[in-house]
Formats: sequence, structure tokens, C-alpha cells
Amino acid sequence: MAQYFDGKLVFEYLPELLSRIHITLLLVFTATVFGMIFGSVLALIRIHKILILNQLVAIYISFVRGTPIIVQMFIVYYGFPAILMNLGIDINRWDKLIFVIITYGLNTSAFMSEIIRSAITSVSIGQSEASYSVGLTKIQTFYRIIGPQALKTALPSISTTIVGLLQDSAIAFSLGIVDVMGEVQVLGARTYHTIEGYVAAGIIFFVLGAIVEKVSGCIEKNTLFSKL
Amino acid sequence: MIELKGIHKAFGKNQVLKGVDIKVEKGDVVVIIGPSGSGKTTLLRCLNFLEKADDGELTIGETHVDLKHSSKQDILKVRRQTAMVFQSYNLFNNKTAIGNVMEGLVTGRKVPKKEAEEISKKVLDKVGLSDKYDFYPCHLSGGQQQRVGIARALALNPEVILFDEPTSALDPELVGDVLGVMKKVAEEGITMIVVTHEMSFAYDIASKVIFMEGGVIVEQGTPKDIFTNAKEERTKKFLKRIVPEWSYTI
Amino acid sequence: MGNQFDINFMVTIALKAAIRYVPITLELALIPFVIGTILGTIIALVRLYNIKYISKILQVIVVIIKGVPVVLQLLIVYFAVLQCFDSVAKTLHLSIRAKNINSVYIGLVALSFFATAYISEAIRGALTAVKKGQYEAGYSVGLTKVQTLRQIILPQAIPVAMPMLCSNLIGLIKGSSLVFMISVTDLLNGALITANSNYKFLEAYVAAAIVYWILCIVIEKISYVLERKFYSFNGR
Repeated sequence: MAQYFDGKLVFEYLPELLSRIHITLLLVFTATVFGMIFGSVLALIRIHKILILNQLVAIYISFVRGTPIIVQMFIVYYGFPAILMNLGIDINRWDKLIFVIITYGLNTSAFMSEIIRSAITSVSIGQSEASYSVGLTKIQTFYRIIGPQALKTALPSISTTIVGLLQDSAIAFSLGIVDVMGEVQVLGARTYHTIEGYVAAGIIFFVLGAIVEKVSGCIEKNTLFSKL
Repeated sequence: MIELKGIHKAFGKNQVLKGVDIKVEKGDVVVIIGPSGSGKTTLLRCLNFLEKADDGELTIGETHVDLKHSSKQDILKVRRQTAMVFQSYNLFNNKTAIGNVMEGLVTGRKVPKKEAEEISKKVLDKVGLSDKYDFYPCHLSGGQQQRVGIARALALNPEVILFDEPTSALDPELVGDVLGVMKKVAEEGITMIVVTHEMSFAYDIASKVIFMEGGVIVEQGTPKDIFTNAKEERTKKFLKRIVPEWSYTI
Repeated sequence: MGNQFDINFMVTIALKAAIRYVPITLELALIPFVIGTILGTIIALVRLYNIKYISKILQVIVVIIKGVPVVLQLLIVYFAVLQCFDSVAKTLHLSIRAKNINSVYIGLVALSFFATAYISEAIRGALTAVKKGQYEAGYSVGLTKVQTLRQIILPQAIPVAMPMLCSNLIGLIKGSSLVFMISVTDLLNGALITANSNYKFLEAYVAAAIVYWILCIVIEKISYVLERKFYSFNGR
């Protein structure tokens, strides 16, 4: 069982692992989109200090940031069906991937909301004052003046969060998802060479992360010229 | 006595200093003027090795250094004989005014704390900050910070104090205070090398004025020589731009 | 699967079990944190002063560790140790075999590598955040590089680094929860074990979550207080 490390296997495994990469990408993409949308909502609630919701959101964010994602994942997996069962809805048959997407979406929202909130508040108040004084409405001000500037400030942190999300997604296999990591388990069970699989998976995650950073770097350089 | 011979310095392909020779006697107040990019600040920073010159010789007092092959000990020796006042003051943000002044003495020269404290208080009094010993830089105005910077240099009793555009970052009202302190320092006979754009100060205080352009010394002499009797065309052109009303007056 | 959330079970059994294993979790987070801070500072200084070849090598290592998920690092180190340990032990004529090692140590090693890489980046960022003029002023009053670092730079870098260090420590606490994959009984695993017989997993996970949450809140509060203390020279 304890055989020697077979370097060739690392490369032989790559194609099989890459065949499951779409799950990883789907997970990261949907969680990011959901995270930015829901995160913006949460951020706005906190900025405008909407009575009770503000405190609830603060507690929610604190919880998500203070607990391991694997714990969150299983709480969603066991908890959501239980709650909905009490309302008469049975979701026990749903694909596990959906629970995973919900977990990562909720998790990302918490982090995104903090980034968005700090980016918006960092735009100096003089900007909105100037905007109102030339006759723009609140919404126009947000879309044309505050928003773009906040986005520029937030971009580096957003890209870091996406890379973090990518790395966190490596945990989803413990729920039984067959993504890249899940495929490593499958291969390992077949051949007993799990470590080569993990190394191959490591390479895949490293490259994906590098791509995200490169892309965001390009975007950062670009918006600097076009928007300011 | 300070002497620089054949100083060369390039940043990449840009040759900033193209062979500079300077001689400074004890008690001299040397003011270096010139357009930006002329290499004046680089020359100053080569003196205390904040920039490493490519070639040349440096003599300060008893110390002689070949700038092409300078050792760590040489650099430390020279730095302990000189002191610098920076354009952006560069006070140690995590230390009070008196802490700033004491630092070079206590840590650098192993002077006992009590003695260092007394020296520092005297020197802070001299620059007019006797009520600000325990203030942190973030609570001091620009002019006050710069005066602490000068005190910090004075406390070390160096062979020469180097001033790198000491008033360029100050609001106009505060410039006068700092120049006043610098005048006092000059009157005490301390050797100073000053890079500045304050021409009236140069005329008032300097014992020698050096005009640099394009990495070389174009002309040097007494303030009267340079400001009223410049020989070189380039010098006259520069002065005409900076102090138009002075050209051709006695 | 019970429809009612069994609070009683959660509090009396699962929570107690989780708390019992908190020391293991703290061990798994704090030891790598300390190691990471010591080694990380050295690495940060080496990279700051750009020491010929070592600097580049360290940069590559840090980039690799930061680019691979912590789960993978844990699993790779675990399996690598299992495979290699026996042959190494035989050559050194030691009588221990891989299966005798408590996996906690493997977890500590893996998490230490992880911590060192991230903390070295945090410290390097803080050191570069201190303005160049502070270094120059230190040299110009005759301080050596080491003296300048100790007296001037580090005191200004520490408060800048603290928020990142705090989040690194929290990351380590959360990362430590993954050791259940290599059969270590930390607070998460401890809570889960209690649910093995009655399948009340949700209650167990919630209990674990509460303990993690409290740990992280405590760390944040401590970090906030320390930050204020170290930054006192800024008139905050």
C-alpha cells in the first residue's frame, strides 16, 4: 500500500482531474456572483444603518467570518432541509452541489459586504457633495461617481476574496461533491496513489489562482486609464 | 576639513554626477544652487552614503574613503561624523521630540542616557522648542518638526551638517523660523553644506556658493561673486530665472 | 433524522465535548502562529534587504504555499510523511514507525509552513509600509541597519501588521478544523464524535460553530486592544 511517489502519475492524473474542473469553476463563479449581489445588499443595509436589520447583518457577518467553512457547509447541509421540512418543503433530494453553492454564496456575501462597505465609505464625501451641487440625483451620483470609484478601490480585495473562495472550494469534496478534489478520492481509491493526485490537484488550484490574479491585475491597470 | 574628488554617479543610463570636486573648510557655510536634476541632492546624499557613488574620493577630517571600494566600516565612520536634515524632516514617528534627538547619541554612540538627555534638552532649547520635549511628531507643525530635525543633527556635534532643501516642504509662514535657526547654527561656526532654493538666505549666510548644472560644478565663489558678478553664461541664465531683480545689481 | 433541533443535546453533550478539545485547537493554531511569526519575520527581512539568491528562492516558496489550498497542504504533508517516514526511520535505526506518530504533529508541521508563508507576507507588507525616510534618518544619525530596525522601523511596523496578523491567526483557527481529515481529535472532531450514535450531526456542528465563533471574537478583541497600545505614538 505504501508505494513510492510516482512522479509520472501526477501528469497522468491531470487530464482526469481537469475533466471535473467545471464543477470547481461553476462553484466559484456562482458563489462570486451571488456574493457580490447579496453582499451589496448587506453592505447597503449596514451603511444606511437600517434599524434591526443592521444588527442582524452584523451578527451574520461576524458568524460567517468567525467559523470554519466546513462547519458552515454541514450546517447548511443538515440545517436547511430541517428548517424547510418544518414548513412542509422537502429538499432532501436536492443535489449536494446546491447546498455547497448556497454555503459558499452565503460565505462570500459576508466577506464581500465588508469590502464593498469600506470601499464605498472610503470615497470622500466631497464627491457626493460636488455631485449634488451640479444637480445629479442620489441614484445618478451612485452610479456615475461613487460606484466607479468604490469599485476601483475594492477590486484588489475582491480578487483576493475570489482566490480565497477558490482555495476554500477544495473542501467541498468532504460533502461528496465530485469536483477536482472529489476526483482525486476516486482515483486514489482505485490505485492507492492518492498523494500524486493531491499534488496534481495542487498544481491545478495554483494555476487557477494565478490566472485570477493575472486577470484582475490587467483589469486594475485598465480601469485606471479608462475611468480616471 | 572636507574634500570630495572626482565624484561620479549614474542611475542606470542616466549619468547624474560627472566628476565633482569640492573643498570645504571648517566653519564654512557652503550653499549649492542649481536647477532640478543638476545632481545637487545626489551629491549631498553621496556624502553620507545614502547614495553610493560609483567613483571618487571622500575625505572628512581624519577619515579617507575610496568611494569605489567603500567598506561597511567606512560608511559607518562617515555617518558618525556627519548629520543630515531632510526635506521631509523624517523624524522618527515613534519617538518624542527629545527621543528623536537622543536616539543617535544613545543607540549610535552609546552615550549614557542622562548625559544624552541633557545635551538634547540644551539643543532643543537652542532651536526654540523648550516646551515641546515630549511631543510626538504627529502633534508638531512642519516648521517645528524641521527644527527638531536640526536639533537632532546638532546634538551629534558632527564635522558637518548636510541640509537637503530643508524648507522646500514648508508652508511659507514657517520657512522664516527654520531659516532663522539655520542662521543661528551658521553663526556658531558649524560647518554646513546646504542645498536650497532660498536665494536670499544663500546671499545672507553663505561663505561659498556653488552653482551646479548637468552633473558638474559650473561656477563657485563667494555670494557676491556669484549673485552679482557671475562669470559663466549658464550661471547668469539660471540667476535671471530665479532672482530676476538681482542680476546686474551690486 | 429528528425534526426538532435538540438544544439539550447540543448544550449538555456536544458543546461540552467541543470545549474539552479546545486546547488541541488552540495548540494547532498558536504553535504554527508563533513559529510563523519568528520564521516569517526572518523571511520578510531577507526579502526586504534582497539578499542575493535566498530572497528569490523564498519568494517562490511563499508564492507556492499561498497558491495551494490549506487542505491540500495538510493532506500532502500527511501522506508524504506516512510514505517516507518508515524508510527514513529504518535508515536511522529508530524504532518508531509512521503509524505510531500522533497525527497532531503532522498537522502542526503542515500548518506551520502555511502560517510562515502568510505571516511573512503580512510582516513584509508592514515593513515596506514604513516610509523610506525613516530608514534614511536612522542611518544618517549613525545607527546600523540592525539598530535602525530595532529602534525605529519595527515599532512602527508592528501596529501596521497587527490587523493582518489577527486575521492570520483566525485563519489558522479555522484551518485547524480540517485536521479531522487526518484523524486528529480537535474541537470539531470532538463534537462530531458525540453524534456518531444518535446522528444529531446538526446539533454537533452548531455546537462546534459556537465555540469557534467565540474563540474568533476573543482574538479580535485582544488584537484591537493590542493595536491601540502599540499605536499610541500616533495620537490615536
